[in-house]
Amino acid sequence: MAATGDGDAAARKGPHGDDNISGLGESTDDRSCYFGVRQQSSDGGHADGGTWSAAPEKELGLGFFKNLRPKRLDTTYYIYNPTTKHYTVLPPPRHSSSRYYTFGVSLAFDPSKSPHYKVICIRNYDPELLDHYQVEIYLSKTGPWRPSGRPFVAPSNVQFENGVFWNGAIHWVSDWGDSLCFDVEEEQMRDIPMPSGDGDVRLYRYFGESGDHLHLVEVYGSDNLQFDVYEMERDHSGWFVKYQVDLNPVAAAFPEMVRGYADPIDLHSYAFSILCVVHEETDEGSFMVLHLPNKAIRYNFKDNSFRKLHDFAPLRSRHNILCTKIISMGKLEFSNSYTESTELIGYNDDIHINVLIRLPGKSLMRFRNVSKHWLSMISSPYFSRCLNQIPIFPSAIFLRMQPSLNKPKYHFLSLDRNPVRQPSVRSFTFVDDPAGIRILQSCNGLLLCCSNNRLGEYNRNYYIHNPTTHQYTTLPKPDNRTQSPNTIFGVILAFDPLKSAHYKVIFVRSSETSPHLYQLEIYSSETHQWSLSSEISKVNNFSQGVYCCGGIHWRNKSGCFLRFDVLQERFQEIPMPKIPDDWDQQTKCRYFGECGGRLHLILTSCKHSTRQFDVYEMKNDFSGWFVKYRVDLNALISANPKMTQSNCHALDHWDYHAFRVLAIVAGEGSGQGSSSPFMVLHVPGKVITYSFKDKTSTLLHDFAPDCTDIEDCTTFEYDDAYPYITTLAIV
Amino acid sequence: MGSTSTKIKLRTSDQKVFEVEKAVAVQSQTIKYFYENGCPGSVIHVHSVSGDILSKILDYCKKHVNSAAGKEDISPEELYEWDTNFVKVDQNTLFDLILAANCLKIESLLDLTCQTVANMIKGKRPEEIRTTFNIKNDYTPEAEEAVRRENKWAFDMLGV
Repeated sequence: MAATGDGDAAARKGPHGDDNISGLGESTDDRSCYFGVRQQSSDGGHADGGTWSAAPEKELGLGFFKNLRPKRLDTTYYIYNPTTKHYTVLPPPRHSSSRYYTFGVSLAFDPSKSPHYKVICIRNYDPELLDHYQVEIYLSKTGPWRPSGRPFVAPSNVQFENGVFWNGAIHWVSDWGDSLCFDVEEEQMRDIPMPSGDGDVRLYRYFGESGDHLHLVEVYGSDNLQFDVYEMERDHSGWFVKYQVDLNPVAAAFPEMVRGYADPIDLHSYAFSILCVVHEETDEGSFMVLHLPNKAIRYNFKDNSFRKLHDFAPLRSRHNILCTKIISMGKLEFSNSYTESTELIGYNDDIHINVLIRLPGKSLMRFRNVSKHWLSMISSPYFSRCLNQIPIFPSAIFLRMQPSLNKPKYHFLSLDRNPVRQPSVRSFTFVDDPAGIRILQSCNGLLLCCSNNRLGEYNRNYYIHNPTTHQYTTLPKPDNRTQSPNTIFGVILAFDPLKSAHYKVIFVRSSETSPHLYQLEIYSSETHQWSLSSEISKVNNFSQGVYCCGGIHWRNKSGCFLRFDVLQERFQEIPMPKIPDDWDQQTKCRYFGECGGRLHLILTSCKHSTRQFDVYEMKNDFSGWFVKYRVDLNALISANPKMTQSNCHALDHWDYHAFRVLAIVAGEGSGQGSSSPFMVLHVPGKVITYSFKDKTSTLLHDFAPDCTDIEDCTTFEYDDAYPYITTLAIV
Repeated sequence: MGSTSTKIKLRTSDQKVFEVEKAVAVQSQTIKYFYENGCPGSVIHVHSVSGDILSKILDYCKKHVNSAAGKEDISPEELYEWDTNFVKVDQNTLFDLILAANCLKIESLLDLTCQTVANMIKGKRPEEIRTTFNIKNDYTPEAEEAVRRENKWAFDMLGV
């Protein structure tokens, strides 16, 4: 806890008055320790009895590193007055998205100027921009949080978590480079000058305010016990030496300070930290409180006298309480070895996440019930990001069954070959749509579905469905819709949990002004708004778009691919792979889909044998294609005589060997570990996997027992197969 | 060879001092950092790790360093077996190992211990998880029931 501001009560009365303090105690840091440093606080002035900011931060101080991990915005902050024992709960800052983090929250309260206080929060401005910050400000007088000023750039080493309020501004020091202050009245960020340091990195020992004076202590040299206490000029122009300190007599009196080695944390051979510098009316009375192993002492600046204030020994039997923080900021920090490990684990999100990402989706689903905090942790984009540090691969496919007159049915086919599971057959019933529900697209775990009716497209409902969590949302209708129905040429979902928790849905429709022009209507789940793109004249086949790497890709019958960058809303053409000259132009697309952030394409000639073909992959710069895998199905065909069609028509060479590519499971990161890249093939009566590497196939499912006419069993096309990927994304 | 190699001194939270071969100690990225940036020969203070736990951790590091350097003839299967036995400890010790591996930044040990906890809790009920991790249930009964119902649908849907 840091004492900021001074004087009397500012916090509003808590909902239950004084008695509620014990309830508050559960959420405040119960490892903090309070003891009086003065015999009397007569003048209503300074350090004690002020307003405290008590954040229930579960920082562990696990020993070596200062925990600089930014806080989630959903941390609750309280304003507490320890004198009156009243407190108030601050509303959560705006931007509930967990991609935003709080780097520091500081209280600005000066009762000599106003009975109201302000709270200043530093958060990241954009999750992608590491050093861009935004100030959010909360006024106790007027209420809600609001952004203050424009985003600003600061070095990454500014200690925003240790803001000090003095002279109308919050001050933060930086390990190197500029230190900053934020004028709370003018809402202006400024640099503050620093005393010349003794090296590249500043070795702060104390930074705090007392009696309207701002103090700074740095100690250089591992054996040096003499140092200066700086005070800042009122006009912020610089620092002057206020007191000179010599702790050698202290070390002589308290030999437990002597370490005999330089501690790796504070690089010092003596164990001490400065808890607070207290400015009294006269310099004679000013003192500082030091934390030594097991003790707190009071050191008077004027006569260098000192005396013991408090003994920590009864707290614990061991004598190894050491000061673990370089700037103590009035906090007492103990190493944690005496605390139960269970309790520590219970507070450590990093460790929880590290354990949880190893669990199957089923357990994760169940553990959302553990607590609200676990629910928010498991549902957060940060967690999906941890979960998907390797690219996302499907664990099953939904296979549309034919015929699908009414309520379409799907086989749910697990790709886990060990053990082989029987597929289950089902239709989607997450919402009661009288026409039944049809899958249009699977995109990184979310399904784009629509009503299965054949009425005008705009009368359909469109749904985004998460089959893992069984959540769904119905897309709102665009509000500026004209009465004359436009033709919809394609609907595509763009969702990438590694980039954003939000998704977009793109409708390609005819323009309202000309039937020869198209327009894109884009829905954003972030804003819940529709937007309309400018008109485009590209003649393309806009059905069956594939989302990959931030763009939607369509295959054009005329021989090229079109990519639409969803963020920049720009089109780009991608040429076809170079096909052999003697293929003629009669190519058949056998597969076009995405997996693990890679776009794959299989083309075969209509006039040649389809025993051998190539799997193309899109180049990283979208400039074209390259051959990723060469496939030779000769062995497979010999082993499966039914693949050779007896009743094939002369023109249907492409269908001479009956197989369909349903899915390709390959991409960045695959091939390491257990599963090497493979494709899922549908051959008469069966679904098999085919490994690109060792060219072996394994059976996934045999339709034969239920299938009366095996010849007719090659009815699935690649666009009947929709990958299932576990995701806990919220729709 | 052992006698000539560099040693690093570590002091634990209960003031036990360990003298460890450098190759073994620098399996910990934290110790490596302090070794490379601190005073040569000084004792590195491992505040948050007790002597018992550090001794176990050093066993682990030694085993893995020796097997990687070919000093010990051990197959990957045998090392896996050894790891499996290494984490057969009571829950408190396991959590202590995780906290220590996290703080000392020993990636492979953190993986091993976290995987062990994951295996341990995989089939547990939410109530048991709360006890295991000492987590307070902050759901209202209604909210808890709603999440549970949602889960049930999802499980029915996936046929699991």
